[in-house]
Amino acid sequence: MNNLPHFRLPTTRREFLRLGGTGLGLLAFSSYAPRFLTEAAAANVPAPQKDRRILVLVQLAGGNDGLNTVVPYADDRYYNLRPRLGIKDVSTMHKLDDHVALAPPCGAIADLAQQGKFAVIQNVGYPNPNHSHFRSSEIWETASDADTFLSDGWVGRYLDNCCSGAPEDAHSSDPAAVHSTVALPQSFFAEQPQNLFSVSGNFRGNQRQHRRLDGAAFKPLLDEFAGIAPAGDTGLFLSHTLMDALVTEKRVQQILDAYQPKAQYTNSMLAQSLQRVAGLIASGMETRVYFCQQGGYDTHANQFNNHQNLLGDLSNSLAAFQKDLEAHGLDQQVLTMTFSEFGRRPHENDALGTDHGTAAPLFVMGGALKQGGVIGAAPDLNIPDKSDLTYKIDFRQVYATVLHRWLDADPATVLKGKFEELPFLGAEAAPVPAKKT
Amino acid sequence: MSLNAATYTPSQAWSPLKAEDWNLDNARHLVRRIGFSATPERVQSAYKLGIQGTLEQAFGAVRPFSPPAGLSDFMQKRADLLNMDAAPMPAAARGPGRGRGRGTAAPPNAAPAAANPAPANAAQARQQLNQQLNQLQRQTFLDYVQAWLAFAAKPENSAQENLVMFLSNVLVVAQSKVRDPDRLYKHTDLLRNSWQDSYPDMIKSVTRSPAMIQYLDLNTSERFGPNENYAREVMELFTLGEGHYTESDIKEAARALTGMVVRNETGVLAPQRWDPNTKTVFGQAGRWGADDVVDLIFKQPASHTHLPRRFLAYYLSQEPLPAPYLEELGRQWQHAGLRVDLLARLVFASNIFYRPEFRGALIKSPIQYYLGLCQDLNLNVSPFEGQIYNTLRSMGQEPFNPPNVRGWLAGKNWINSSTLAARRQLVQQLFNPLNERALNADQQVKLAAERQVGRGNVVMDNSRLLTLSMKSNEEIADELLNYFLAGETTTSYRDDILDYMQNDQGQRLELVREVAVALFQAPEYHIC
Repeated sequence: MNNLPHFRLPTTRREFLRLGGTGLGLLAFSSYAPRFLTEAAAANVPAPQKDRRILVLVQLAGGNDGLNTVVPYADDRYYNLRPRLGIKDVSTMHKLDDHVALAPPCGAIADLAQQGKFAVIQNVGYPNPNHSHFRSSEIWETASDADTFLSDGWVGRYLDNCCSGAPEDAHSSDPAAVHSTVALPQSFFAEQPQNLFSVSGNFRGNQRQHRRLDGAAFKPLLDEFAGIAPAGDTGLFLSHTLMDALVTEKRVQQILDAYQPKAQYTNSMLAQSLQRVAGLIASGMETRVYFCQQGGYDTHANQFNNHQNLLGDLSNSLAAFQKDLEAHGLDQQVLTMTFSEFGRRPHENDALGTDHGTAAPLFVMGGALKQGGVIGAAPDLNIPDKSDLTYKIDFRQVYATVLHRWLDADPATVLKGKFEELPFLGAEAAPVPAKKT
Repeated sequence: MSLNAATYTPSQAWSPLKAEDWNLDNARHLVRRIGFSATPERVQSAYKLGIQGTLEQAFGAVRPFSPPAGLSDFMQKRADLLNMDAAPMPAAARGPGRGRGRGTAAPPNAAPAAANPAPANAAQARQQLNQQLNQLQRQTFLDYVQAWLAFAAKPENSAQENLVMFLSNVLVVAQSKVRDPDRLYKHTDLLRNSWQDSYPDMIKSVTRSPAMIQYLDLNTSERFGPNENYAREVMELFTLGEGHYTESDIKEAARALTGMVVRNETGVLAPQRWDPNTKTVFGQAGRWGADDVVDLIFKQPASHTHLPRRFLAYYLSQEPLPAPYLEELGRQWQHAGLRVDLLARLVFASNIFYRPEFRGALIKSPIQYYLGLCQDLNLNVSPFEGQIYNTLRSMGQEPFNPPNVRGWLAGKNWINSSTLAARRQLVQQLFNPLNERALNADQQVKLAAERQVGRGNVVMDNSRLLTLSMKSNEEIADELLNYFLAGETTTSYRDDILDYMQNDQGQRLELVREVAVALFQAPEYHIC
C-alpha cells in the first residue's frame, strides 16, 4: 500500500464490523470474513500484483460522428457531403497529418498525439453493420459477428478465461473490473460470477455511520458474537459477496476521499468518473479493467455545437486523466480506449444533424503506446449520396491487440476467432511479474 | 445443492407429496416459491388448504390485469401527435377526436395537443415531435411498469405474475428494442392469458405477437431474404436447447417462418412474402408454414424436457437435476398435454420439490426482492414510477427490459457489489420516513391520490415502528424473526439481536429500525 500509507485493512472482527454503515447488517454473516482477511491471517501471503497493466474503456454512447471528430480536411468530398456541418476553418483544427485533423475543441488530446501518447485508429467497424443503437452496442460489447448473438461481454469473457480462480487463489477482494455506470455494462457480462464494482455518479458508499457502532455498548456483542450464514452454496456465496462488497465499498470510499488528483478535472460526469478511476488505480487496487461512459452522441439534429462541446469535454477529461496518471508515475501502466456503437452517416441530414452510420475512428491513449498519431487510412468518401462508410479495421482487431499485447491474454479464446493485430502496442506484452506461490 | 439420487427413483420423485408429509414448513416453502413472500397468515392458510387447494387457488383461473389508462390512450395520443405534424393548422383548433389512431374518438382527457409556438422549420418541428413522442412513450412505459408491479404485489395475483415473469424470461422481448409500451404489454398479456394452454399453442401465438415479430426481426424475413433470428431462438431458447437441431433445420425453418408482418397491431401472414416452396425440417419435407414448424419441433423429444428444465431452474434450483429425473418429468408433462399450468402443478405437488436440500437454494430476483418486501411489510408499491424503475434497474433488473434474448441469467448473476448496494439502499429507503418536502409537484400529487384510495403506505414510517418498539426485546426479536425469516434462523441469531438491544443505550425507535433493516439486508432474506 505504498500509495496510501495511512490506509490499512481491518484485521479484527470488530474493526471489520465497523466498516458496515448499517451495523447489525453485518452480524448475520460476520463469521465469513472476506477472502483477503482469511488470507492475511495466513503466513506467506503473496504480494498483491499491483504492477499489472490496466485497461480503461470510455464508451461514447449514442454513436459518435467520426467525420467531425477526425476531420478529413484535405478531402473536398467531405465539404461536399457536409455543406453546413463541415468544419471549414483549417487553422482552428489540430492537424494529425496531411489529410486529417482533430476537431477544434480537441487541442488537449492533439498535444498528447504529438508526444506519441495518443493515437487515432481510423475507420473501425465490422461487416454487415447494424444501425440500431441496441444491437450495434451489443455487437461491440459482446464482440460478436453482426449475425451472432452472444450473452457474455468481451471483458467478461476475458475475466472468465484469464482471471478466474478458486476463491482461495484470489489475492484480494479487489474487484476484477469497475464501472462508473449505474447498470452493469454488457461488456462485463460474464458466465462465471465476477467481483464487479460500480462507482457510479451517485456512489456515496456508507457515509452515514451510525454513531452507536463506535459506542462501548456494542463491544460485548462484537466480542461474543458467533455469526450464522444460511446453509448451502447459495447462502455461502451471498455471505461472501455481501461481505466483499461492504468492505470494497468502504475501502473505495476511503480511497476516493483521500485521493489528491494531480491534474485539474472539470465537473463533467466523464471527468469525475475518470478522476475516480485515477484514484482507484493510484491506490494500488488490483482491478484490471475500468469502464466509463460519456453520453449524448446521438446527434440527429442541430449537431454542430452539441457535438463539438462533447468532444471538448472528452478531450479535456482524457488529457486531465493522462496528466494525473503521469504525475503519479502510472502512465506506463494504463491504456485508455474509446469506443462507440457506430459512426454517423457521412451525408448531413435536413435537420443539421447526422443519422446512424457505420465505421468511425476510435482513440487509444497511454504512455506505453508504441505509435501515436494516426493508424489506418481515413475512410473513402467517394461513395454515393446518403450511403454509408465501409470499415477497414475490424473492431475486434483492436480488441485482439489489447487483449494480447496489453492484458497478456489469448485473443482467439476471448474473441472466438483470430483477428490481425495492430501496431499501436509492442508486439508482445512485457512479461508480467511472476506469481509467487 | 444437488439431489441425492438414492433418495428417490425418478417416478417417486414426481409423485405427489403424501398428505401426512404436508406441514407448515412445506407450506411455507411452497408459498414462498410460487409467490414473492410467505407471511405467517398466508402460510397458515396454505397449510389449511393443502397442496392441491393452494395450487387451485394459485393456478385455477386466469386473473386479468387491467392496463393503466395511459396505455390504452397511448396509441391515440401518438396518433394525435402525428396528426398534428401532418396537419397544417394548429392541433388545438382541430379539437379532439380527429386522430387517425384506431378510428376511435379521443377520450376527453386525450393528448393535450399543446399549442407550441410554430417551429422555425420542418426539421426542427420533426425533432420537437420526436422528443414529444419519446417522452410520451417513456412515461407510458414507466406508468405501465408501476401498474404491473402494484398488480403483482397483491398476494392473490403473485403466483400468476411470478409464472408470467418466468415465461417472459423464456419467450423474451425487450423494451430497449420494442419500445412501444402497448406492444410490450400485449406480449406479456398474451403469456398471461395463455398459461393454461399447451406450450405449442403458446409458441404459435407468440410467433404472432407484434412485439416478438419486431424483437426477433420476423417482420424483415421474407421469401427472398429469410432472417434466421427467430427460427434460431425458437429452437435454441424457447423449445429445444442447443444440440437438438442442425444449422440446416434453422435455415429451412426460417423459410417456413417468412411472411409474418404486423397489421393493425396484429401479427398476420402476408402470403406474398411467405416462401411457398418445400422445406425440410427435422428430416420432414413439406411446404411448411409457421405453425407446421412448431408442430415439427414438438415431435422432437427434447421439446418435452426443455421448458421443464427452465422451469426447474427458475423454481427449484439452478443446478440441473440428473437426466433421468428430467426425462421422467418431461414424460409426465407430455402426458398432461404439455399444458404450462399442469407443469407447474406437477412440480409444486411433487415429493422432490419439498426435499430439504432445495430450501434456500434460490436467489430472489430484484423484482421478487422488492415485491417480497412490499408484501412482508404490508407496503404499497411506490407510486413514483421513475424512482422505482431506477431502483430495480440499479439492482440489475429493468422490468420488461432483459439485456438480451437469453433473458436474465438469474441466480448468482443477480449479485454483485453494485446490485447488493442497491438492495441495501432500498431497505434503508423503505425504513426511513419519506421526506415529503423533497418531492416534486408531480410526486406530491401522486402521493396524495394514492393516500385518498388508501394506498399511501409507501415506507415504514415511525408510527408503524413505534408500535413494535413498545414491546419487550424478546417480543420484538420473536416478531421480526418469526414473521420475516421463519424457518431460516437459529436461536443464536435471536440471541444476537437481544444482546444488541439490551446493551445499547440508543433511542429505542432507532434500535428497532436498525434491527429490522439488518434483517432485511441479511443474506437469509435474499434467498428463498
